[in-house]
Amino acid sequence: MTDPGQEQLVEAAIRGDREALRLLWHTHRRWVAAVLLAHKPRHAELDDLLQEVAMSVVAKIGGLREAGAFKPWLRAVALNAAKTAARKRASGTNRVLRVLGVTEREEDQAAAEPGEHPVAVAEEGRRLMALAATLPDGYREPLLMRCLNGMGYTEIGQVMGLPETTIETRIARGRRMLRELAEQSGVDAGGEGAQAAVGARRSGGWRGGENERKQVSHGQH
Amino acid sequence: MDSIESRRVVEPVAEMVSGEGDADERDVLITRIINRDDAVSWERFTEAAGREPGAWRELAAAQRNHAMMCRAVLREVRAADAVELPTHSAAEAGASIATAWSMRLSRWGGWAVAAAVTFAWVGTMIRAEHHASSMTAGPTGEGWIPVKTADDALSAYRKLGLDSGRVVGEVPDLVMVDSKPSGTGQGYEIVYIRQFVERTVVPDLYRFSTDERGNSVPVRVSRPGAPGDGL
Repeated sequence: MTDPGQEQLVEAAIRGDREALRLLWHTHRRWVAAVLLAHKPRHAELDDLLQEVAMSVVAKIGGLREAGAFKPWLRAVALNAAKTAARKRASGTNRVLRVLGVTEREEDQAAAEPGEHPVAVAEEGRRLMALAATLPDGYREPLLMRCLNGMGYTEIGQVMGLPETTIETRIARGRRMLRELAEQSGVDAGGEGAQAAVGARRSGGWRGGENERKQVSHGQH
Repeated sequence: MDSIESRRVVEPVAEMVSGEGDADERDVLITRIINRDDAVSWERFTEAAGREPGAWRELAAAQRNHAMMCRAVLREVRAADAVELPTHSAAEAGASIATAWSMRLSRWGGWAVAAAVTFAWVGTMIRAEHHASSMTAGPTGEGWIPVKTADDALSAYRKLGLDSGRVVGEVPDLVMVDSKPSGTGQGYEIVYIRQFVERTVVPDLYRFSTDERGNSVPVRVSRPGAPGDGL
């Protein structure tokens, strides 16, 4: 961590300053959610996992030894929550009632381009996210985090403990894999043209996506 | 702030992709255009696409994928905005389960039910409003159930609720939230949550959303297929 203001906040939080910890949580909780999204089992609810991470942060922050290690520590807390959820059997009693409300539909409407059906746009986004979930760990996590405003390569690298160049490479490859998966599964991301391009690329001099997916799935995470 | 992105203008692609072995130059350029939309990346991409025109379609697909997926991701991660840290004392006291439950219940509280649901407890007697004929007449008359203990009251509630349709059932698992050795020196005292599933009908249903200023506001949930419904 290079931001001295953040580091001071972390030090204060370690000493037991509740307000400092609250500010830190507010600053970082969205990327924590992205990490959870990248690693959580399908049956687990994101907000339940976030609650568990919040609990662990409060309970364990006092044990953090280096303020500069806060981001990777927070990521590790999130990963543990996701792994614990994966070990648990999905329980129907923990489900929270969910309804597709007006707000979501209004957001879908706003996200759609002229001529696009808002529900179709939202559905396509969900399908792409589901496809991204099949990417190797080390690729889907930076890919999802990059969607958040303010999460550049530096910050993603700090969270994941990787060089910025590695983050850029993984995002570039991850996007290519996603493009190829979308084409294979028929998600209309770019239409026929995009499919033709991906096909041409496979037969040409570009490295094949499938082989690379197999290779990175044992990856450098 | 983001040093890679700030260096990008002057740094050749070949030097940028050495982190994990060679990466595809075109993939990196596409990613840079999506992330930053800078002139240098556009220039290099245009040059590459001149040799292989399919690159334009790849760029279009990548941009669209990114936009679509990120909308979905952003919508999901917004759940984090509603998650606050629990109090130190609760967490440090090891009452994590209880707090987690209270937090979960507070989220359920976000569902505002317009109808008033009233529980009327009159002394130790519960009025049997429905299916009185199925009840045994109590000492105080038809439709009244004698209740002397908490277990009696619970049994009466369960029986009447099931008969009337209000109670759907009881969740079989009890959730233990605390335990300690009992004061008598024998056994343990446990605190647990017992859960019943109920059903009711309400005229309107609301969920909490946030307005443009981030304030929590109730939003009416539309009935599927209702006149004027957007779907």
